[in-house]
Amino acid sequence: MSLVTKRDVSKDLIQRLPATLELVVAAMAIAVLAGIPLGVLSALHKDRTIDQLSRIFAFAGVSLPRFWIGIMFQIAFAYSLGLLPITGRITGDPPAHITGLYLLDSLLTRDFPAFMDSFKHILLPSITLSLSPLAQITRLIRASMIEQLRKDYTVVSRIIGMPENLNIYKYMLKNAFTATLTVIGLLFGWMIGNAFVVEQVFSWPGMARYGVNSVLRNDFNAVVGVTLVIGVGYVLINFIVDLLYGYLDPRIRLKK
Amino acid sequence: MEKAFKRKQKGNLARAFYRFKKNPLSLIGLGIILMMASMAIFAPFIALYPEDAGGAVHFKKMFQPPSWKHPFGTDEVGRDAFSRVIFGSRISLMLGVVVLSVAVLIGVPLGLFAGYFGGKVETIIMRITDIFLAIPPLVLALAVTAVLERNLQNSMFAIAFTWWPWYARLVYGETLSKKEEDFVEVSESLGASRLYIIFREILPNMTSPLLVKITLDMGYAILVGAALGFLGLGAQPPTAEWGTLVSLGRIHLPKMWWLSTFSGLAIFITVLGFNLLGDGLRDFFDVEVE
Repeated sequence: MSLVTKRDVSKDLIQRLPATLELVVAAMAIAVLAGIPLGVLSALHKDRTIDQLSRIFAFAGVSLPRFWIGIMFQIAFAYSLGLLPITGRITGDPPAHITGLYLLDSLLTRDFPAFMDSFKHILLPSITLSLSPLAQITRLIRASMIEQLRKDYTVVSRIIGMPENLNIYKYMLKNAFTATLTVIGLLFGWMIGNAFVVEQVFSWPGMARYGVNSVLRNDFNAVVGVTLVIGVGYVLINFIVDLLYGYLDPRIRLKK
Repeated sequence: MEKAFKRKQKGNLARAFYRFKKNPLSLIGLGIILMMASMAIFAPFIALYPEDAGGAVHFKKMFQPPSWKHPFGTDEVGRDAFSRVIFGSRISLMLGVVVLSVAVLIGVPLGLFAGYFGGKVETIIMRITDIFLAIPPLVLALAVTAVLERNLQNSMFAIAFTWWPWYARLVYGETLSKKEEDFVEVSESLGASRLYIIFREILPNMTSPLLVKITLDMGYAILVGAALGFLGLGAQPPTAEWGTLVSLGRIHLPKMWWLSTFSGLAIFITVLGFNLLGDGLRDFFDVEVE
């Protein structure tokens, strides 16, 4: 029982969990989808302009206070240019409830205006949350790709004239990704932590915001609930990551 | 022979400094940190209106945009934002130093004991560490502040409380590899006490990874501290803390943009400085720290 809302903490949490989940997954998708090509590009152009730019970007990415860059985004894209909404998840009513993830729900019900609307809403918070993981993934992919570039199999496949793109994306990247995978598991934890701040900035109605408000109102039962859910979720994600190793690296799968 | 050794050491230092100098980014980082540190020390002399760091009130000049008289503008009760940002450096740097000192003082001995003694000691210490590592640091810090009164000391305590396990784990790993080395075996056979071996033989051999981690963590600890301040769980107004300043300024957005902008920029630059220096030190010592 929450001491403030007088409802079951578990009910409050289930209601808000999808919002946080959607935000964190969207942010991780941005970080991975942008981080991999950036890292590969930096590795292929080591110490040239692209690499230097991505290095500067990486330093900035990990050093920026999340709440501050979120506010700067709000000022730039929402207030000044008026391109994107400032806060919240959606204007008007949410799409029919299936999973609670607005992006997915609106697609399932083919409610495209709602999809576009929630897409616009999630853009700024998820980019804000993704910056630091994006920077870290870029650096890691770069480091492991440089290592792979020196390996014998890379040299051989170049000599026998395998198309460079096939070589990079099918063989080298798969080998380079293992190290990054560990970090992605850890970064999920980082993201959940920082979701507390980002949700506050963008008034995102998620579990993390609920957590912050519970702390501020000394609603101890709710705080314990939030911490517990996050702890379990974090352990689960790292378990999934461990399973994924087997897929990427047969040596782990086949070891008895 | 002593002389020769000294000369060699000096040569090493000179070469080390040369290598360090070759990386302009780490020099920039060092410059930023020195600048912030002197800002913190000489805050009363740099700040244009030192009395504004606390709860001063000048209603006549509230919400003035940046000008020569008030480089960062003034806030909702007419305090000079520039002076408040300058004084904020004291709190953030102190928070970083306190948090890391506590984390190192707890984490390092625990890691050393777990790694060196093994057995039950190892099981107990490392399993407790694992429990702490199972919850993301910022979330755990939030949960801790929930039971405590909200002020700066308690937020520092909460962050330190979540930080020591990382040091325990780093030191534990290093100890496992160091205790197999010959110099440990030699001191054991010479009859050195266990404590002597742990603190005088093993510990000095892991200074470089520790130093790199502490430098990088200074930045992260300051970020977490500012985040707690922003959420209203750290230093309370009227204290001029950077995170609190951003959060107070946010109420008056978008018109009074200068309040949040400059205090956030101060956090960014400070953290950037520690990251640049830490990265330079990592290349310099050639160590891997996660």
